[in-house]
Amino acid sequence: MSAEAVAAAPIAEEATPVVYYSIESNDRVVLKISEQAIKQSATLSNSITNLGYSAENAESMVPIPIEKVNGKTLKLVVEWCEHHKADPVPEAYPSGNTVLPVWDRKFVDIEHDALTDLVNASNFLEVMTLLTYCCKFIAGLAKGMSPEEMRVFFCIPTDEEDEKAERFGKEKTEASATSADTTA
Amino acid sequence: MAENDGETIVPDEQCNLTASTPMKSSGLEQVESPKERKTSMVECDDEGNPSSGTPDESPKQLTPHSIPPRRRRSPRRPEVSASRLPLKVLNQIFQYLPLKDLRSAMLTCHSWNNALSMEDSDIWQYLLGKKLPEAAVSDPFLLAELGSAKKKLRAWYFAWNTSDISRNNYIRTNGFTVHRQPVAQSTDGVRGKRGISKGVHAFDITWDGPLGTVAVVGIATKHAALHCVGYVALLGSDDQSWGWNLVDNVLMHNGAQLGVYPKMNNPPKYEVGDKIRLIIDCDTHVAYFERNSEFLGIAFNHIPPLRLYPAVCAVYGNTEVTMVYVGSPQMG
Repeated sequence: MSAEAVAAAPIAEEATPVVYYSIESNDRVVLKISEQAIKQSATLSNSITNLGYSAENAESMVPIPIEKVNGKTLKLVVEWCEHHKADPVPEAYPSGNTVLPVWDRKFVDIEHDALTDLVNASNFLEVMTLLTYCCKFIAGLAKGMSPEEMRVFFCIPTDEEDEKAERFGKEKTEASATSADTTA
Repeated sequence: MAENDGETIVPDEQCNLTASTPMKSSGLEQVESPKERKTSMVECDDEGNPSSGTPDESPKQLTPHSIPPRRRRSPRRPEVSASRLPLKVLNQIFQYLPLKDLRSAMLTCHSWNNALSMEDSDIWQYLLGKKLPEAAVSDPFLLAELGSAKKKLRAWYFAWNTSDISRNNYIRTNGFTVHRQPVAQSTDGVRGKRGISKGVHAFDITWDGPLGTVAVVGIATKHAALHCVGYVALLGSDDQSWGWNLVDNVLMHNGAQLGVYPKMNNPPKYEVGDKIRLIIDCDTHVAYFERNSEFLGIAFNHIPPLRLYPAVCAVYGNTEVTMVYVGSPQMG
C-alpha cells in the first residue's frame, strides 16, 4: 500500500507542472508561452528544437529573441496561441473554405496598424491558422470596395502622395544639413 | 562631461529645427502637413537613436504627431502599410476576394498590382481550380495555347453560354464545346458568355464534327435569333448578326451574301478540326478570320458600335464546335 502510494505521487507531480518558454520581442518585452501553445508556431517550435531548449532547462535559459516582432504584437500572438493550444496544427495553409470562428473574429477586429503588424508577425512566426484568420478578416473588410476606398481604408498612399513625401523628405534633409553646417 | 553636454545640445537643436520647419510649411500648404509630420517622426527616430538621453524625450514628441494623421486619413507609417505585405500574405488575402474585388485591388497600388500580375501565382491557380470544370483542366489540348492560369480563367468567362443557347444545343462538361443534338429541320446556335465593345479580341473556333449543309461561324448581338425551323444560314440572316458559312465559304449579313471568303478563286474548303481564329477589332469596326494562323483578309467592315458576341449555328446532328477566347491577337 505504501509502495503504491509512493508510486502514485511522482506521477501526479509530473502531471502538475506546465513548462513555459520565455521569448523576447525586439523592444525587450519578455513573454512566457507554454509548451503546448508554442506548437502553433512553426518558427518557435523549430527554434526550441534546434537551440536545445527542453523542459528541464527552460527556466534557466535566456529568452528566445524575436527580432522582427514588437512586444504589443507578440503579446497578441502568444494570447492567440494559448487560446488555441489544444487545436491541431495544420500541415499546410487552409484552403479558401475557411470559417472564421466567433472568438477569432473578435480577436482580429483591431486597429489597422495593429492588424497589419499581427499579419506580419503571424507570417514570420508561421502561425498558419492565425494568419489565415487575419487574411480572411482583411478580405472581408475589402470586399465590395473601389480602389479609392481600398487606399483610404488600408492607408495606402497614391503615387502623387508618395512623390510629395519624397520631395518633402529631401527638403528636410537639406534643411538639416544646412543647420548642421551653421552649428559647426 | 563638457563634451557630453555638447553632444546632447546638437540633437536638441536639430529636433527643434525639425519641429519648427513643418509649422512654416503648414502655413503655405495645408494638404502637405500630415506628410510633413510623418517625415518629422522618421527624422526624430533617426536622430534619437545615437543619443542615450533622447530616447526618453522622443516618445513624448512622437505621441502628439501620431493623432492628426489618423484623423485626416492620410498615409502614415509606410513600413507597416498594407501595400507592403509579403507576397505570400497578399495571395492569402486575395484568394478570399471575388474577381470584381481583385480588379479593384489591382488598381489600388503598385505592389498589389505586381502581386496580381503574376499570371501563374497561387491566387490564379486557386481560382482556376475553383471555376473551371475538371474536364477542361484535364484536357491537354483544349487550352494548350493559353500559357497561364489567368488566361485560362479569362477564357472560361468568355466561353459558350449555357443560358443563351438553342434548346437543341447543349454545352459539354468541359464548358468550351457545344454539341448539337440530332433534331430534324432545325438550325441551332449559341452565343458566348461575354460580349465585347472595345479593343481587339480573338476567339479560336474549331468545328470538331461534320459541317452538314450549314455551318456558320461569326458574331451576333444580344438580339440575334439562335434558333429557326429548317436548315438555314441563320447567322447573318438579319441585321443583328454576321456569319461565314464554312460549307460554301459565303459571307452573310442582313440576309445578303457578301461574296466568297477568302476572296479568291476556288477558296479551299474547311477541313474538320482546322482552327479558325475570329478577330473582332471594335476600334476600327472590322472583323476577320485566320485559318491555322493564316490571315484570310477583312471579312466584315463598318460594323456598328454594338456589344458583339462570338456565335455559331449548326444543323448537323451530333456535330460539335469548340470556342476558346485568347485575348488580343499578336500582331505580325
